Amino acid sequence: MSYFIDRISYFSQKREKFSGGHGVTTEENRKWEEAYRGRWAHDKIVRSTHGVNCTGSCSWKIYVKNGLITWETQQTDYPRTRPDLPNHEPRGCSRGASYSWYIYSANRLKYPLIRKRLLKMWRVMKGRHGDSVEAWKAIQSDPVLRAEYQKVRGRGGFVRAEWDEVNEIIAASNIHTIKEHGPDRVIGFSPIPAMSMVSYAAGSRYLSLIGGVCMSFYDWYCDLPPASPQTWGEQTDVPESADWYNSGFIIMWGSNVPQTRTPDAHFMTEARYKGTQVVTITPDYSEASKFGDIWLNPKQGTDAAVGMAMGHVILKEFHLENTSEYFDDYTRKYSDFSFLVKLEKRDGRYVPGRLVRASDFDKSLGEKNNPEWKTVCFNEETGDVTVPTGSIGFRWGEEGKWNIVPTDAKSGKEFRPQKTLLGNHEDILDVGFPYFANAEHEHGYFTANKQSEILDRKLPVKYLKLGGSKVPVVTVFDLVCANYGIERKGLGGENVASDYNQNIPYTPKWQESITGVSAEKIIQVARAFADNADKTHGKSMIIIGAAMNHWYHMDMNYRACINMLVFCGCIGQSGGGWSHYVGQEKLRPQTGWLPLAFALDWARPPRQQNSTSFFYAHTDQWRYETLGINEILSPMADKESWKGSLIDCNIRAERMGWLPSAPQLQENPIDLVHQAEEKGVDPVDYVVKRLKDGDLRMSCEDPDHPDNWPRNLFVWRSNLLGSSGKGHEYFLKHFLGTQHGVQGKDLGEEGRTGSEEVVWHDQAPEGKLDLVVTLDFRMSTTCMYSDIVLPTASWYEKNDLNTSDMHPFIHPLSKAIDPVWQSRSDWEIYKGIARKFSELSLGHLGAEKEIVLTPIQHDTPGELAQPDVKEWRKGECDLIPGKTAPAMKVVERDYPATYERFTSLGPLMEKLGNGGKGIGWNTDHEIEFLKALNGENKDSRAKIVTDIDACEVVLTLAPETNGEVAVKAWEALGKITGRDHTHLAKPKEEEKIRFRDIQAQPRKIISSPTWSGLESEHVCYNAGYTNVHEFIPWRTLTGRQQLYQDHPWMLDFGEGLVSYRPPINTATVQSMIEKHGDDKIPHITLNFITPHQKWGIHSTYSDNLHMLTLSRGGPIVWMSEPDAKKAGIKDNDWVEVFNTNGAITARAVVSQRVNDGMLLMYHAQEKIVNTPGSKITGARGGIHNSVTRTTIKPTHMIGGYAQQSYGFNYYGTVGSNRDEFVIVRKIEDQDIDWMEGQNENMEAAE
Amino acid sequence: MKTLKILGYLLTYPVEEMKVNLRACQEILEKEKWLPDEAMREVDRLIDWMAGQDMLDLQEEYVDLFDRTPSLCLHLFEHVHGDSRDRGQALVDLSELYKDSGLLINTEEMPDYLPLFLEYLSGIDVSEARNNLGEIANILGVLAGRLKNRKSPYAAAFEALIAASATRPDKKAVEIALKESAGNIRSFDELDEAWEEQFAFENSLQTTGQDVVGGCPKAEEMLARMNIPKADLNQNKEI
Repeated sequence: MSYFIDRISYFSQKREKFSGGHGVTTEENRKWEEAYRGRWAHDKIVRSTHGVNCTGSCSWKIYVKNGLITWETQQTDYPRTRPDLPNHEPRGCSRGASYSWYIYSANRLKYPLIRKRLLKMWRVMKGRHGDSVEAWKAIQSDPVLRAEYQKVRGRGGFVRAEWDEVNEIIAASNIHTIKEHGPDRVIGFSPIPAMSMVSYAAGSRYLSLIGGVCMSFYDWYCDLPPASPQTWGEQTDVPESADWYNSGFIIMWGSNVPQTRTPDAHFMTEARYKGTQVVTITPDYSEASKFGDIWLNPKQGTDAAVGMAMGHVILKEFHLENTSEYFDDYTRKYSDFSFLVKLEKRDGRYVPGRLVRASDFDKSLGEKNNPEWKTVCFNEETGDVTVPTGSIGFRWGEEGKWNIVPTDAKSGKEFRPQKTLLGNHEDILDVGFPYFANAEHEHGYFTANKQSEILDRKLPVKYLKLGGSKVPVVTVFDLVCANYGIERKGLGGENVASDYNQNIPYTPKWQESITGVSAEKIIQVARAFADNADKTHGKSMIIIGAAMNHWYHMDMNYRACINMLVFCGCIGQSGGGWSHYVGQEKLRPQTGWLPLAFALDWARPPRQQNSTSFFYAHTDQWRYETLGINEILSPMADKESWKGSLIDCNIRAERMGWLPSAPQLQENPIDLVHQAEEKGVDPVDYVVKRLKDGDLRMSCEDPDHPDNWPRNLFVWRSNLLGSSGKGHEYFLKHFLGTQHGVQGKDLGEEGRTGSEEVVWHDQAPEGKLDLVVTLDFRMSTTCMYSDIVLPTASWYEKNDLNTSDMHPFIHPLSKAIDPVWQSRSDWEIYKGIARKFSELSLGHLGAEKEIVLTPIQHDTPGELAQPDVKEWRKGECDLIPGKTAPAMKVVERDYPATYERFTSLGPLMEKLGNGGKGIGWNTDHEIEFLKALNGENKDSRAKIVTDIDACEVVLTLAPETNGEVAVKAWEALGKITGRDHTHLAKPKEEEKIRFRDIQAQPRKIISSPTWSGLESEHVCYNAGYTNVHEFIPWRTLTGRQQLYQDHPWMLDFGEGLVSYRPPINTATVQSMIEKHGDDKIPHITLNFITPHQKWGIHSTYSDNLHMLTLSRGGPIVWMSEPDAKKAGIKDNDWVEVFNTNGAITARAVVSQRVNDGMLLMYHAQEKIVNTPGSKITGARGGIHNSVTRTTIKPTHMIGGYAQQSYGFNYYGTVGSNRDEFVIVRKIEDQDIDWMEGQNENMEAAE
Repeated sequence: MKTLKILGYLLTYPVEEMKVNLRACQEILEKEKWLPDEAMREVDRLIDWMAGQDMLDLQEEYVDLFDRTPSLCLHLFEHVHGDSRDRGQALVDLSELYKDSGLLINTEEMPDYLPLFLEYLSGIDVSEARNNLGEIANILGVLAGRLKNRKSPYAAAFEALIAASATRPDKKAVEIALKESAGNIRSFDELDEAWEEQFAFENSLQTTGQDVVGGCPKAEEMLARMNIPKADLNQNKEI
């Protein structure tokens, strides 16, 4: 046979090798490949993010199979930027990447929990009374029963509960509280709405509907820089991170960008490739230090001295000696440099006083509307006193003149404001400036630079006839130059320097002894910063962080930096400006969210409280205050008028309507309206009369009286007690009434109460709160201390919205899977409570009227209320609500309809419209649209039943996500400014962003007048941009960036102008050293610093095993090698950290990174993980806030005065904590007490 | 066989209804006679203890142990995968296993919840169930040990499960785990070892099918290289 039949035609032989021997065929088992195929096979991929307070708002892909989350990866589909600008993605960090494993973790809260003791007595009482509200009342009216569950808070003892039963208890407690004490005794704390705004709104909507109080957070966290409202009338507005790339010179100042702004840091490193210079200023060798071309390391807390010296160099070289044309023009237009200030005679010397107003002149210079709020300057060409447009007096009561084109308001002609009177002056006078750096520090750690207490410097003046007499006036610019201690040609005199090497405040040489930074470096950096700004017209930037803001005198740190930026024309310019990234403050669709969140669609005004003052009063931290007012007063202030203690200042501020109050009045506000109606008088008149007569008092005057206690506390999206609660141990002792570590004596025990306003009780209350309810997805420290714990859906189990200041996108949280176990979304939880509340209120509460007090609000006509400080309580003026005292309004609530109202959009939107930051518009179109989109309920109102409905309400009402509304908003603003701004939104008028759109891809917001930056195809978002480019005034007294603060309290506390103020003495260490001197353990006293951490975002993630493993698996403190040596401490030793406030136990990390004298404990390490007992307190070691205590600052209480008027999270006292000192000593290994078997369930060691 | 299901039931959150059923549980266990006498006596003791407790106290005890203490978590993968990324996929695989047996989970519970797993086992062939139980023997051993250290009567349920399974826990592994959870500080070396990246496909049923050894050749090569004793590696310093 021939071969052909054997030859194979249709097959080829298996080839061992192919492709010229480069390929090879093998036969082994390939089943392993299925793992890869399986890994990437999913039922669906969903977009979500982590709703945690990190400003990231990073897009993540969530992979779901069989209803279970298997995997997550970073999403990479952000909209592109433009040529020559890097893209945003990928965004994310190691902490976020560790998140999805929380979902099924043993740490996860799976069921509603309730304190057993409480449940037991509840069931007994419920059986006995039948009625739920009566049952709750029975428990609360028995002090023994009440204390029985209060005193085990934080010590375990939970049982699972049914949703229905816990909802019933919560509702009964709320109803009882409203009936018995008043709705303002129901308090809710939830922070940072931007991280999950509908979840925030769920609780705040419920609370606002029942008249409860929503607590502020930005100020309490000390993330609010009060210098921002002071200077700009703006809470905080900053450039997005992409704008860093546009910068030519970046100072990273107290901000650890790679560690705490991880997803954004790439813009900074990319900018360096482009040639941008980076200077890092941090006291320790932080992660950010290595990115600096120059690294400056001033002693922590002395940054203002560095800033003052840099300002000295910039002013001298770029404003005085070689005037930069750009800087000169910018500051005339956009700062208060040209405005006139009166010199006032005090103790024989001239001191800077009030800004001159039109009302000071004969016939008010022809200004009829608000002349006392219109500031004046000289016209440089004519020498005439001129009232320029744009000051705050033009904002209210007239139209068309509130803009900052330098225009004479009378003639309507543009003019050139006069910046300096030098050369044109009529006289030269000595003017006093306060100097604070003489103060000796209690531990000698911060060094003084001795100078005279009041620095007299010469100023060029002119005289004006004001109020009938001849008064010397100066310009702000001349004041500023004198304040910085720069010798000016033709003036001479004392306390000014002609040379940088003179030790005169505030030269580069002067700061050396305080900060430790060499004068040469200061000069070098300041010069380069200004030179770049001069050449690029403002592209120099300062990225500034918590390390600057968490000091008692943070305003000095901030204003020193802000001044540098304003001097150099950097604010409002692309690539320039003030980049304060502390807290995820930017709730981009804010005006759409407000009605939903505070139920403004049903009743106005809502109750909002500034947390710092509230916690200071109600956790009784004021009873332990050691800082005297005299310690912080200006040497030029009248000391006689400043007696008493710090809480007195707060009480005065509340009475004058500057700060809010909660609770508000010593009687139930519902009862007060009843009483008035029975007497047939107007309830407001009735309350006013009783307050004046003194037989009704505001709650603030007696915070320890049971009538004035807050009673119910809701905490959600927050770890108040494990993270942000400054003065943690005081919370435990007085607020909760449980085991605590407070070591210090209160002022009563020490016999120095010293207060003039507050009622003193010898016995301080312990356990003010009847009920603490916390919503969380993990058992945080706060949950441990709560009475009821409700399991929430986490960030992949609910629908919500998330925005950040770091990028311009609006991002969804999406429900990839149903909430696990019995958890529910915040929206569903509060809806459930609202339903139960409505049911149970029948027979107890009906439609009720109550009286609501609100402070005088910023961005309302009320901000012109108080040109002078006058107290009705002292008979200096009449009590006029909204003018000399809080505004008062009768508000109607329909308690049984709470659920109906919660789930539908109320009638006030059509009736009163919507708006924000001083402008308003009607919402007819939006409401009709929402009815069509969400459906209507039986009363023909748009439904808000689901979380997506709620998202759509926000997106539809907000100009940032609804182009039509944006155009309306710009139109409304244009009426006030007299300029057309609609071109900023017109191209996007038809754009309407829906929830499903942002699930498809994050969407860029639309420019709106709520914010001062633009988001367009041409510029990155940068704060102040529309002020500079559209001539929209800053919302300040002068309408310009205000470097001079003339409120009498600002002047009395020496902060009319910026200076350096050393950290305060907290007096928490000495008595403890004496008390424990016999312990014979070597110790060291160190400054306690609490930066943001690497292994968590605040306390979140810090308890998962990944992050614990990357750090040291429990609480740690960092200290320097020399300090450790002094106290005989080695790396990884257990140490005890304590002062009169309490004690912490942690391991020591001994590192060269840390400065001598500093103890660094990363913020928010929970005490639920690996925390042994403390010998000092006899209890388990605390959290970082166990050694802190809040100290409030009077200048933050100012109200009713233009930009210094109250706004929720906008202005108010802040919870600073870095001035604190602690004692550190070793705990021997054999002395480690894990406190096992003490029924605390603290999980230590497991 | 209902024994496993009943042991699982005893490990669920106690509610009033359970008290009514405790005696019936006892009877079934006695009737099925799966548990050895010693284990049965302990389970009787557990049941008696449960019956004698005030319900709220019993619930408090339960929450303290199983809800609040991660090392006593009744979700098996907590002890296998912890918070690692493998957990989600493992849950999916387990749910597939149930699905293959025609079972769908109809509660809010996760597939790795021990009582749920025991219910599944109680429905399959006894010897297979004993083998499957044997696969989690170490976890059972550790949990039993931890509960005994806490003097909790619940330990009996775990001892009984161990008695019912085909294999005993590995004593050494259990000892090490118990030592870890006792709060003893581990050395850095021990920590490193515990956290070393594990090979994704080693000993994993789903990835290798029956053929445990037949892995990816490249990975095997890599493995072989890494398995060279340390001393050998030290000799190759120049490379």
